[in-house]
Amino acid sequence: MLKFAISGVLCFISAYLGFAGKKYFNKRCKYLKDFSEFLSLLRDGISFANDKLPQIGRKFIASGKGAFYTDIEDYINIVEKGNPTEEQVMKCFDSKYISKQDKVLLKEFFSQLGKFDYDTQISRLDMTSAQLKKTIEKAEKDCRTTGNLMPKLGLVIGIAIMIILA
Amino acid sequence: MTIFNELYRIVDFNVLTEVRLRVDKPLYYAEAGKYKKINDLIISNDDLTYTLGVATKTSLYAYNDYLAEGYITYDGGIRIGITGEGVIKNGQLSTLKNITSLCIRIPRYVAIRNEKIDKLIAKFDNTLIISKPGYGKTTLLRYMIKSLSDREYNVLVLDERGELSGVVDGQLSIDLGACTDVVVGVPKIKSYSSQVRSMRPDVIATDEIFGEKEIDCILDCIRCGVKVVATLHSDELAKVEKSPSYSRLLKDFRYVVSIIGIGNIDKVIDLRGNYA
Repeated sequence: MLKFAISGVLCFISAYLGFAGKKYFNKRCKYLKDFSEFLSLLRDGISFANDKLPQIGRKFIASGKGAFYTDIEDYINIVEKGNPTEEQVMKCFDSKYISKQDKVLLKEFFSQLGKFDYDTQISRLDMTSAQLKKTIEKAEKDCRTTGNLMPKLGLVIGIAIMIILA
Repeated sequence: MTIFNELYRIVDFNVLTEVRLRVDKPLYYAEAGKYKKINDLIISNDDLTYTLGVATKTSLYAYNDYLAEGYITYDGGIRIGITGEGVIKNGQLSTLKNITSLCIRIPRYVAIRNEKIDKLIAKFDNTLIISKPGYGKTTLLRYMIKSLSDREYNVLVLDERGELSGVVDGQLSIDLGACTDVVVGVPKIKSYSSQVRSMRPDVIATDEIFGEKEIDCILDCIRCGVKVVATLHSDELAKVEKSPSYSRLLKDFRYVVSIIGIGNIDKVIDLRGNYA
């Protein structure tokens, strides 16, 4: 009976880890897509309305929820206080959903944001968008393959543990 | 710690009028117009970047047109003059890069106790204020705007750079009186004709007349019956009289106020005798 209970718990844990893995991949995708959305809004704000960064940021924060929105809020808070340093920017975008490489991309973009004239700012924005597009494509592929595989794998491993222990 | 923390420690902000930042050079500041130097405070590129970041709310791109003009305006009408390397695009100056100097000018409302100015305001007519840069033309203009407004003249202030009124998010940070209307951030040439028709001012106040087009606009306003009070960079009236462009103003302006030292109003000249 005890064996059966332990194997049940282990099966549950294994399946849970599988689903958590899928959730991670989904959240990573959402984080990067939200960043892409922010870049679009930023481009419009800069090109058409000539809005300042805090205004654009607040508009974006009001439009949704998620890990990226929280990070942007932290970033806009420090922008409103003054000129953010690289370290401050890094702290804002220290999300668990993104890779080290993504963090470098975010740090480089946000620590330089608003420090250039119009033309340079737009070309940097476009460059980041292009880089981000590739990252999103890869993240979506990972989500479809590895992300979808993880819950199944978790369940299979869990059942296997149950069989072995039984 | 920023250079401004150090400055806060040393300087009396009630009398601070100017701060000058030049890369690799010590910080200079002016208290009531007199320059002082802080030898220990050598300005770095990072200091300029920080200052510009704060001044532009980390949105330098939004100030592109202003950069091309060589200045940006910060909260409270603080004007920051900028020098750097010009970027030419389609044959025109597009913006500045590699910025090397900033000149931060802090506007203040000062009630001027001067009998000549009080008499001028009492029998107000078109007035031209002349002096070298930094002697207090804008301060005197601000005082005259408030005094005329207090006498219930409808004063229209054409404040292209926002330094006369110190407008921050639509709120005037400097009190220019209850009968004052302020146009901020609009090129003055555009404002003259449109605002004279729409706002029906008794007096137009404008800082730093520059160029033939503006002179034509001012003369047109005077022809329409609107009084003008304006400032002009020049160290003496004789030089204005010799200038083919600016001497045209003297035919329609009645008073010339000459400032010969920082805040030192030399004389108020009534030109009516000479140019009637």
